[in-house]
Amino acid sequence: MNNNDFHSFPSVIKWLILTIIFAFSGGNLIYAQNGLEINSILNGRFSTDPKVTETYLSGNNKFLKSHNLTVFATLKAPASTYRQTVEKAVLRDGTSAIGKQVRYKGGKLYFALFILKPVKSEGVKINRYLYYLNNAANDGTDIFLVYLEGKIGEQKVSELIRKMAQNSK
Amino acid sequence: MNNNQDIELLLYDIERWFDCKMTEDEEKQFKIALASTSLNHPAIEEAKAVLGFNTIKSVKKSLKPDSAFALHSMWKVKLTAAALIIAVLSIVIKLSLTTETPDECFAFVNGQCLTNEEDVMRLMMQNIADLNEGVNEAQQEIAEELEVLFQDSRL
Repeated sequence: MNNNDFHSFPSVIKWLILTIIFAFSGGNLIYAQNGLEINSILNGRFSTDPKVTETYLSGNNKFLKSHNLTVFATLKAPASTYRQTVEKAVLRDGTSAIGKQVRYKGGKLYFALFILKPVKSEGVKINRYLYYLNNAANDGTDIFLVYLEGKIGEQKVSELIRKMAQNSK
Repeated sequence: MNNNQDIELLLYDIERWFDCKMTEDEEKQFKIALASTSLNHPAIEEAKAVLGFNTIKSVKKSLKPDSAFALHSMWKVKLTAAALIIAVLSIVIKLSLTTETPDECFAFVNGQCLTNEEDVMRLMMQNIADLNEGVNEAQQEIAEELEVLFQDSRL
């Protein structure tokens, strides 16, 4: 029996353990939106409803790049039909938010701004923001959902939304 | 019957050999008979083993990794192979996971899908404009209520 085999035997086990650890925990997150409940909403799920307006931009878009964004998605949908579903998803994602502004009216969620936990993608910190508004609480008829993701800071997000609103008039 | 008699005779010789009651010639004859016999008996097998007549058979049997050395070598090979497979898989997974966010540009309106960037941007800005009014109002209300709370706490 060769004693050297016994000495190398444990190091193979160590290598195997390290490899397993690397394989299952060393990688980066895929897309920052993964793991969010709103992912199941901002994927065209309600697109067949003519009363729903949804937009989705991601990737190497000029607009996104100029504002340090990687994803910009919006949803406008009738509150009577979609409020419960969307509100539930928003509140679930908001439970682990690092910053919140929340307002209820008439027992229903009226407004929410969640600054979600940033994620790392290829070593870069990706910030994530979620806006929700239930206009029905103010004599409107729709709910709104806006999701932004990118290196953009909180201040710039508010400025961007304000600027876009002004430019649309 | 002949078989049984032969076995009895051989067993008798085996006993004599173990008791060292054989002459040299008798011992020579006994070894030849033992090596060439096809008779089956535990005592015969034992005598053959003692005389080394079973050596080749037993080496052939241990192609299975009975020895600790062989067992550990096999373990090493299996573990190394498993580690390599996991390493390759993890590299493949990591490469596929760290791709950039894919380019997507679409809008759904009136049940239709639009992919023209200008249309998508226009609809996006409309949505934002509608949202912004409500956001401003909500944030104004929050600020006012906080102000009231702050004043109350100073009283």
